[in-house]
Amino acid sequence: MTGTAGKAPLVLWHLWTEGTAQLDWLRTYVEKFNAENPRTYIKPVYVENEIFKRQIVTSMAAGNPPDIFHNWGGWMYLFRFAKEGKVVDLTPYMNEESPYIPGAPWKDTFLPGRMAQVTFTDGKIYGVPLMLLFESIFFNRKLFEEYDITMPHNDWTWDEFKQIIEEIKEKTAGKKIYPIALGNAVGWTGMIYYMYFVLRLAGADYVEKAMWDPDLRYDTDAFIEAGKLCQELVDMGAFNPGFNGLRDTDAAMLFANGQAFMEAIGTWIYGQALAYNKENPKYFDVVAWPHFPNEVDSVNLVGGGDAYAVSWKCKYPDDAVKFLQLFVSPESQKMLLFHCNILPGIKSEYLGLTKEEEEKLSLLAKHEMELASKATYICNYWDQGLPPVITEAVLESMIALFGKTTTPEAVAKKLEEARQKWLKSAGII
Amino acid sequence: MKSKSSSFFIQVILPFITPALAFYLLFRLIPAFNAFYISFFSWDGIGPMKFVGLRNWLELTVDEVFWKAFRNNIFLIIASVGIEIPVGLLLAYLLMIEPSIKGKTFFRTAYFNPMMFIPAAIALLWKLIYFPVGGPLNNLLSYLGLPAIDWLGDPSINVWSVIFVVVWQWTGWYFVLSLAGMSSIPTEVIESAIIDGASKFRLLRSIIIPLMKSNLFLQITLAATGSLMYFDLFWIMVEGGGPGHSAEVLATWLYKQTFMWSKVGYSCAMAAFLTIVTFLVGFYWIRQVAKAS
Repeated sequence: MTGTAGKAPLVLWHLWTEGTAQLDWLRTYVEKFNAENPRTYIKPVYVENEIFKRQIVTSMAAGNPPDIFHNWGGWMYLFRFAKEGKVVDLTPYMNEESPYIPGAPWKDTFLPGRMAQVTFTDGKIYGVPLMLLFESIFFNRKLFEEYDITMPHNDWTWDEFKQIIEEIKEKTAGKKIYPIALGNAVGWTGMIYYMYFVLRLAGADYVEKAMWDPDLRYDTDAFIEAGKLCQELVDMGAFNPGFNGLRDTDAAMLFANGQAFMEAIGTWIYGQALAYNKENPKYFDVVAWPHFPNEVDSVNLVGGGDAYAVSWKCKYPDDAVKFLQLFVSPESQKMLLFHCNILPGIKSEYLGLTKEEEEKLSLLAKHEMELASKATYICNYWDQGLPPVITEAVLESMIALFGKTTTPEAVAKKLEEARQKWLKSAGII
Repeated sequence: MKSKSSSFFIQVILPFITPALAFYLLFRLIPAFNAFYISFFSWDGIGPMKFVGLRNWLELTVDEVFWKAFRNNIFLIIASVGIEIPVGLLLAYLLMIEPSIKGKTFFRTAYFNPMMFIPAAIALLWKLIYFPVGGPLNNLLSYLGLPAIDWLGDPSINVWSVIFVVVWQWTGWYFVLSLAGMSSIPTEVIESAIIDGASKFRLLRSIIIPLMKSNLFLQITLAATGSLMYFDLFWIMVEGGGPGHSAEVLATWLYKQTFMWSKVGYSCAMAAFLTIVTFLVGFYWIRQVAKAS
């Protein structure tokens, strides 16, 4: 790293492994910042996704957190620290202009949905959203063409989805190629399915309010139905074998290597898959979740995205913010869009894509934009947005649901029990 | 006489044991008592502590996962005491009793070798071997015309898949302990038994094992207490604990409660319980060791 001599380090915890497009993006702007900044330099430290979730809690409790830390907004990894005064309040900075986007307070340049996920109940802003991630069904165009299978489309129904799965199974029989890649050993990948089904069947409004509203419930028909749909996919052999013992990274590898036609995962998959295969991700495309005849919500999304926050131990919060301003500058957000195929966290009027740039967008990015533009609400991942007591119930239920050691009814009941516990501990009931 | 022995203790014994004692107090005893103390509070590890009396302990009695994990630890004890120690003993005996075996040093090293890898490396190695899609073990099964097995995902077997690797890793350790125990048996005893016409099995059963009693009891102590506190391979090989926590052990469950779900008070109750059980098991077997020697 150049330009670090005699400067104070600002340790930054990120989750991007070697070979991912996201790491290229981070490194580009860290180097830019380090070359220009006289007093401090950013020192990126890679922490593995699951290890991060524990390490950040331990380091906060022990009083030696990194200066800048990754999080996804929400309760689990941001607000529970913010509530104890362990995160720098960024509101004063957010009310000022960012040097890269003159003309509006910094906070107004972000997508409102993303801003909401880093704003605590007291109205203070604790994080800087880096991007807009959402979950959807990604598929490999090349495989669909090669096996002459009906290509998924945004208006497909649940039945069409199942037909495609059957078609894939038929045409790939005997080969180690599967309809959908899944690695559900830690539960959040299965949760994506469950959340989507709940979102479709109960509506975004319900999902959003259920965390706080004592009159709503998690054990309604929509939740039970969602569990049944998950197990239906398991029963029909939609997934690669062994998904109960595999991680999301294993599934990403299968998908990247062309051993799976589809994967229900976040928009980070393109950049992540590049770490395993340089060729296949070029053929990745994205499509909306299948629709149900009785659905309440057809357009909204499950998602959120990475954010960075500054810990109270940071000696140079001004410098940390300077870096974050650079990292979400229009120029940097364009690199995110073009290099990683991930949608920016800032509003499109501030991103300012030119006509030529718009034409250069990949098919994947265009389709992502199309899905995002239809959504009016983005429901934060339950394992990030909800408090620990519910998150725990969600994750262990999802492992059990897909492993078929529990029933959809029992899952809904367990989630509701956890919600009741949370409402009690928060003093709402 | 009394003052002489106490001054001997202060001047000679104490300085020698101080470093170990300080370490033991600082990193073992004090945290253990601290865990007992915290177990009476509701605490998320970051915010303020709230006294809740016995609530955490009562929760322990109804926590199904806790008891499932405890059962898995018992499986692990059975495997380590029932497989690792006997196999280790047998391997050591074979190397000792068959002087004609070529490459003794090689076998000695090979048996002990798994112990020298760090558990994380072993876990990753075996995760690859168990890999459900095109992993070597399932490839072998399909070559033999057998159906593929979901080694780490199937809730009915994943705990055994991990226990197998634990046994694979630790047998070498008990092999070395047995080897050390056997080498301290006077050769005259063994030679005279051979001259008297004792078969190899008889020699093992009637001479070697009885003379190694305290060594074997020590092995059992280590295996049983070690199995109760075991963490590493389960943590890395089945991170989520498997469907329905089928492959959860006490240490992984405790760790998750503390560091993922911030239920520090509750997990301290669990840790305190584990300390009591381990202490009782250890205490019983250490006494057996003392009696035997």
